[in-house]
Amino acid sequence: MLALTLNPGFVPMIAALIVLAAPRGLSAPAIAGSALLALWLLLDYKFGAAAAMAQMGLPVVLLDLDALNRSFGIALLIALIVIGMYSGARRNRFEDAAILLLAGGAVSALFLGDLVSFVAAAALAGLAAAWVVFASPVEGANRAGVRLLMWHGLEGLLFLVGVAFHLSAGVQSAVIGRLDLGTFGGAFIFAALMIRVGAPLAHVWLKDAVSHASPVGAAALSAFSGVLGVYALARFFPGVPLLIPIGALMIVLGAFFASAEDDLRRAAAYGLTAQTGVSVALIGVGSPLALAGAEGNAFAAIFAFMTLQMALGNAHQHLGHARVSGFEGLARAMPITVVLVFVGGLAVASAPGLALFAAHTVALEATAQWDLRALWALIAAGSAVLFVGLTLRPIVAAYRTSPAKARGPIARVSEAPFSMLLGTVLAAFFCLAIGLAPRWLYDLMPTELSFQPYAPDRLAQQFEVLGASGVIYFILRAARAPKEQPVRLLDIDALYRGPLAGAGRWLGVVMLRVYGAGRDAIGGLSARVGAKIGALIGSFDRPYGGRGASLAHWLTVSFVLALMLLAQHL
Amino acid sequence: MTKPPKSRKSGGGGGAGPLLLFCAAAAVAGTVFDFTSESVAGFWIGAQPGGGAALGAGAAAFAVLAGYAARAFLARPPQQSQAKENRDAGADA
Repeated sequence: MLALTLNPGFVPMIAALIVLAAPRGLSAPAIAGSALLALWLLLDYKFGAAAAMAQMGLPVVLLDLDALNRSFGIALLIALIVIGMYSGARRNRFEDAAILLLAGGAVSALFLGDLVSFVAAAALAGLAAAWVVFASPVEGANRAGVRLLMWHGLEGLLFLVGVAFHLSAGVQSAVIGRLDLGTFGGAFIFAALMIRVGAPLAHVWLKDAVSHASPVGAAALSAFSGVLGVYALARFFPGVPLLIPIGALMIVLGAFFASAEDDLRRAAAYGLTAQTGVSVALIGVGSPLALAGAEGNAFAAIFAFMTLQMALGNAHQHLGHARVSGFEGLARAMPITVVLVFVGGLAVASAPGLALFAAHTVALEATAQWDLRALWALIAAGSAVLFVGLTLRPIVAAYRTSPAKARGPIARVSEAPFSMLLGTVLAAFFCLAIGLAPRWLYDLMPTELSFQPYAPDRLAQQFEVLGASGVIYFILRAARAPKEQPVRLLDIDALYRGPLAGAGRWLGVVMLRVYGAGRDAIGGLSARVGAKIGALIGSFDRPYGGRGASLAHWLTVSFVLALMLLAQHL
Repeated sequence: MTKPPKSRKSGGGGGAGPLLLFCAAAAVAGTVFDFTSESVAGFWIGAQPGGGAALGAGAAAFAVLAGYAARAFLARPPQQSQAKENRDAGADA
């Protein structure tokens, strides 16, 4: 009897191929339908490894289900349903196929039980992410796609080297399990995952990709990109202390840029880096509560940032940008969108009643248990910085109106299409559902949690942090807050896109000139040598004429004499 | 003669008022509850009653300072940035 066990992630991949050939109107239903089918498959399976086989002596485990990957899988597939709804307003089958491939790659990587297949699926997801950016109509998307391709190429290379080193220890090490950072294999895989989660120095790819993607693509990249890295870190490197400072730096870096960036889609991507940093640091803490907090944080962040990116995407769709400096008067033109930006902003700031609050309180409790004061303070303050940067700034700008702006182009902008609003509202609904009934999130965790996020002291503390940050922000804003200006901030990528790229171009020009000069010199030299040889050979034709002739004459006579002497000796 | 309506040079805050009220209410409610509740003492000074408000205030100051610092040291106009981007790695022109 043929037993067919399908990895749920393969369903969106198959749907990606169908979408390329199907009528355009079927794309959105195909996305949502494939996600529903995959979700049904996922919930139908029992925990444990299934569908294992061997290829070239290596185990290939196509499905290995447990509580950890199941919860991530549920989150990603629900997110895909929401994105399917959101994508109905526009017709771009290439982007739809790319999103399905991205989601399929990420989901299948979660459930694969061997390292080689995991790396293959992660690389596929990376390539699909680049395709999402390439398929975007936003200006500069092609170049951003190339840069993203480079990042994922580097990540894939590190993965491959790591897996090769790791497999050299024996065939059985191909099965997914905890890795040792002290080995070459472990270190290379760790480095690859640092790129995936957007660790400091590698944090720029996400904001670059998101800001150049279409509204649908930005939501998909936010939902499906970094979360795979968090899952893999929780799977391979739980309790590695190095992850704590890395996560802390991600929080600081993300919070800094999220509160200063003018382009809100970039700012939201930085905010996602900060929240991913919380998960990374908690994986480094490694206690069961911290791991549950990391997983819950990643789970909730998917919905919170998807809501925010979708709401900002609504504005981007009509304005052509999502800059705070250009938001003035938006509340009149797009009132529903602005309310959704507010809800998304509150969700990413871990406001009580919304998705991230349920995980935020677990994170604070987990760090308090181990007396990690600095990390506790960073997590608590990080939510307040995101509240200021991603909630208060855009809303204050959107509700501000001046007579000039009231008659300007923004006044003629209408509300986003129905399907985009519906998708955003659905994402916001999931934020509210997780926030108001966190028990179902806790029940999905690998660790059994008897946690009360709405205990009065926890609730009061979060209100205190967010409320005080808001009040102080308004006071400082009234006093001397920086004016919102249409600027783009330099980050570490400015180094490789600026001086390093310039140095590369300069080096290329120098090398080309050196090559040209060398080629000219060799050409000239060979011409001169050729002329000399030609003259010499020509002189043999006229042995009794000119200066060269005497030389040829003597050479010929010497050669004949040498031959005669040789003959005499013989 | 009817007096012409005053022209508003700038529209003012708009949503700032309700938001400030929202934040102030949350801060006051949270802080009052924090001081009056008999919950277990925090594990460090930041987790003591009122510590959350101090953290929030510090975070807001950080956000405003980050805005200043970023504009002072890291900002460039979008047009210049786009022109630069057109010449960077991966340029297809």
